[in-house]
Amino acid sequence: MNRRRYLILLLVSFMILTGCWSRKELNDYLLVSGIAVDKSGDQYSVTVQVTDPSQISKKSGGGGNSPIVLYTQKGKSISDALRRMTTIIPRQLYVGHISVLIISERLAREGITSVLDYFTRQVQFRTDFDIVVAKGSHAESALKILTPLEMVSSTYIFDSLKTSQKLLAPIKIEKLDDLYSTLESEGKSAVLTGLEVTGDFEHGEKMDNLKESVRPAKINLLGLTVFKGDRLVGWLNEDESRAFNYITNNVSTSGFVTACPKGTGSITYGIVRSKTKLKGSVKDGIPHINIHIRSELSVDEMACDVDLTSPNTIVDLQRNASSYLKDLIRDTIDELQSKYKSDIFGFGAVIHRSDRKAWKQMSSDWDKHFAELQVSIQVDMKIREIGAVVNPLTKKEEKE
Amino acid sequence: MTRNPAESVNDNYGLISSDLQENIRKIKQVTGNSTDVLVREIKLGVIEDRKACIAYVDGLINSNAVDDFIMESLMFGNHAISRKLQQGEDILQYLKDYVLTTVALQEDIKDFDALLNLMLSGNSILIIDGYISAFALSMNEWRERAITEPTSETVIRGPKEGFNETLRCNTALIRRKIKSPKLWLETFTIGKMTQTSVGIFYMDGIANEKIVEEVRTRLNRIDIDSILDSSYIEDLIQDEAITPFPTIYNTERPDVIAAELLEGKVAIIVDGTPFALVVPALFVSFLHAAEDYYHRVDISTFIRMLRLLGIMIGLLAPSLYVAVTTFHPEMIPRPLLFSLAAEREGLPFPAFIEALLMEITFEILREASIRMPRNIGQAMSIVGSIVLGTAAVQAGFVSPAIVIVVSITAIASFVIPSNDMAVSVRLLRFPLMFLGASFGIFGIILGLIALALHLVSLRSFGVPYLTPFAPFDSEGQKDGLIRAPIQSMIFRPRLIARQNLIRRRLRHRK
Repeated sequence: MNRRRYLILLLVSFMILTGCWSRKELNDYLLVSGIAVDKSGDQYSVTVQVTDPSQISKKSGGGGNSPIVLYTQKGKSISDALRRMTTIIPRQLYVGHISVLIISERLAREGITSVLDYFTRQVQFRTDFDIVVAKGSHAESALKILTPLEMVSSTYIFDSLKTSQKLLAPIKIEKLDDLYSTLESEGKSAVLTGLEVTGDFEHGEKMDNLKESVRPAKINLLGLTVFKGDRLVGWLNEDESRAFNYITNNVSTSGFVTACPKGTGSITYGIVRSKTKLKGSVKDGIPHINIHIRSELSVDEMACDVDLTSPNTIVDLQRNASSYLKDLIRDTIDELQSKYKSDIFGFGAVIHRSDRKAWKQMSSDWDKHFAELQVSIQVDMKIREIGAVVNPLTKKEEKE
Repeated sequence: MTRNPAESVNDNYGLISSDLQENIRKIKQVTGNSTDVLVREIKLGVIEDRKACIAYVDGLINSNAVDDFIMESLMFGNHAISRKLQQGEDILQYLKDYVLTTVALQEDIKDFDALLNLMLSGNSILIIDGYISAFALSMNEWRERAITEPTSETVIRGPKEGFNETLRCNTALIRRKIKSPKLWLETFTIGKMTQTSVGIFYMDGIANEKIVEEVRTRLNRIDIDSILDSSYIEDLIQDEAITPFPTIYNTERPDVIAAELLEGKVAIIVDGTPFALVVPALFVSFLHAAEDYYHRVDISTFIRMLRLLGIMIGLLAPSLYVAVTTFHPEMIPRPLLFSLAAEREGLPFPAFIEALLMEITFEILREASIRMPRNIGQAMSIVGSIVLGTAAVQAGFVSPAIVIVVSITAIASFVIPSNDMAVSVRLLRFPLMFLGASFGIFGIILGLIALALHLVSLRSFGVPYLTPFAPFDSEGQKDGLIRAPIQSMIFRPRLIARQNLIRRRLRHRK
C-alpha cells in the first residue's frame, strides 16, 4: 500500500515538476509559408514568407493589410541566417508547414547539397513541400508577389505546380524526399522545376496587384532545369520538359499539338492515360534503352481535312501522333546526351536493374556511357475519344 | 446511556408470552405507541370465550381483506370455535385448517422479533390468549408506482415496461418473460434497520454455479444497517472499488434482465428500487442497448460502430485538440492550421486552460440541468448556449474551435447507452487532457496504454472484464462490436454460461 502511494506521488510529481518543454501555442508562432534561399559571396541570404492568418481566414475576411510579410537575413549558413532572423521578428518562426522552397539559379549553379542538408536534417519540416529554382531573378522575388485567389504566393506556386503537372506536364513536382533520394541514387540526375517572375516587381508587392484584372506582376512556371550532380547545368524548354515526363512515366493527363497529316492546319490531342515502360540491356559495352509508351488519346481540337468517321483516318492519325512524340523524345534525349551529358531520365538505374555486372563497370563514369547510350522508342497511340462532334464545321461548309 | 440505533434491532425481545395483554403491551411499547400500528382485540367463542388480537401496520395492509378473511371468518365460525374450546382441543390447528381463508399464512411464530418483522413488512398478526405461537397472514397492499416506460433507457422499438419499486412486482415482470421452472429465485434480507428484501434470479442449468455461489457469499457477507437502493449492494459486492469503470451492470428493463439471465448471468433485484443489478458485467454490455436486438442486423451493427466512435470522441477529442495544437502543429493540414491560428490570434488563455474551462463549464451545466426544477430548464439552456458559447467566443475569451470540440465531445458522450459508463468516460477525459497538455500525443498514448492495462486487469465475479476481446473468444465477437443475426448466435458466452452453452440447435442436427 505504501509503495503504491509513493508510486502515485512519483507519477504526479512527473507531471507537475517536468513542465512541458516543447509546448507552444499556435499564437506564439509566426507561420512560415515559404522560404527562399540565395547566396551572394559566401553569405547565404534566407527569406521567409510569414503569413498573417487573420488576413487570410474566411471569418475576418482580411483587413486590407497584406496577408504576407517577408523577412530577409544573411548568415554563414541557412540555420545561422534563420537564427539571426530573431533580431528582426517578434515571435518564433514555425517552418513545419512551408509549401515551397525557392532556390536561386545562382545558388543552384553552385550546388544545392548544403541547402538540402539543412532541410532534411531538421525534423520540424514536413517533407511535402515543393522545391523550385528561380530563374535569373533573386529567389525571394517570387515570394514577394501578391497573387489573387491564393493570396499567399507560396500556396499559389504550390497549387499551380500541382495543376500544371496534372494538365500540361511540362514540369515535375519535386518534394524534398524525392529530390534527396534522386541525388543520393546512382544512375539518375535531378531535375527541378523553374519559375520566373515577370512584369512590374515593385507593383507586385503592393495590395494593388490584387485589385486589377490584368496583374502587373506574374509568377510563371518555366520548364525543367537539368542538374548534374548537385549543380544546375541548364534549362529544358517546354517541349523537352514534356518529353522528359513521357519518358519517366510522369504524365497523367496532358495534350499536344501536331500538324495535320495532309494539308495545312493542326490537330490537338489530349492524353486520357499514358504509361511508359523502360527496358535496359547492354550489348558490346554499349547500353541500350527501350522506351515503350502506350497512350490513349482524345481529339480535343481539329482543323484538318480528314474524315474521322473512317477507321483508316484514325489509324493515320494515330501513326502521325506516334511519330510526333517519337521525334520529340529522340530530340530531347539527343540534346541531353550531347549538350549536358546528364542522365535525368534515370536510364542508369534501369541498366543497373537489368544488368548489374555491366553496371558495376560503367557506374564510375556513367556520364560518358550515357552520352553514347542507344535508344529505341516505341510509341503506341490509341485514339479513344473524338469528342461530341465527328467532323469539323469547316469541312461541311466546303462541301455545300 | 445512549443506545446505538443499529444495536436496538438486535435486541432480543424474547418469546411470545401466553398472556395476551402482556403481548399487546409489548407490541405497543416496542413500537413506541406508533399511531399507524393498530391492534384490534376480539373474543373467540360464545360460551367459553377466549381473547385474541389482530395487529397490523395501517397502510401496508389491505384492510378489506382483513375484514373479509380474518374478522368475518373468525366471527362466523364462532359457534364451531366455542365447541372446540369446550372440548379443549388445539384451537390453532383448527383455525388454520378450517377458519382462516387466506393462502399466505405463516403459523407457529414463537419469536417476538420475527413477529415484529412480519408485522412491519405488511402482515397481519393473529395472537390468541393462552398460546405462545401466533399466525401471520400476508395481506400486504400498499400504494406503488405504476409500471411505466423506463426513463433512463428508452427505446423506439421494443418492450416499454420498466421495473417499479416493489420487489414482488419486479419478480413478476421477469417471470412473465421467462415461463420456465428453471428460473430460480432466492431471497435474502439485508440491512439491520431496513430489513430490505433482496432477490437473486438465475437460470438453473445455465448460470455458472460458482458465480451463483459467489453472489450468495458476497450478499451474506454484507453487514450494514440500511439498503436504500441497489447501488448500495453494488458498492458492497463489487470486485474492485478503485476503478472508474462499473463492474456491475444495472438496468430498469425486464427484457434486458431476461436476456442476461438466459446468457447465464445472475440478476439481483432489490426491494425499493427499479434498478436491478446483473453480474458478471462485461465492458461490452455497457455499450449495448436493448434496442440493438430489436433492430435489423445491419442497422444495429452500424449503430454500435457509431457508439464506439462516440466513445472515442467523448474520451479523446479535447485532449487530442490540445495535444495537436500545442505540440504537433505539423499534423494539422495547412489550410486548417491557418484558420486555427487565425482564431487563436490574441486569445488570453493557452489551449489547455481553454479546454479545461469549457469542459468544466459544460459539466456544471449538465449537473445543473439534472438538479434544477424542470420548469426553469428553458432559461438554463438559453444561458448555457448563448451566454457561454457565443458570448465567450465573441468576447475573445475562448476560440470558436474549442467550443466546437467541447460540444461534439459532450454530444458524443451521450451516445453511450449506460449512464455509468458515460460517467466513467467523462471522468477519464480530464486526466487524458492533462496528459495531452503536458506530453502531447505521447502522453495520450501513455494514458491509453495505462487504461488498457487497467481494463484487462479488471474482473467481474471472476469473469475478465474485456471478454470477448481479451481473452479473445471468436464466438463472442458475434455480439461484441457488431451484432450478428440472432440465428447465428448459437452459443451462449463461453466464460459465463459454462454449463449449458448451446443456445440454439443447428437445423441440420434435428
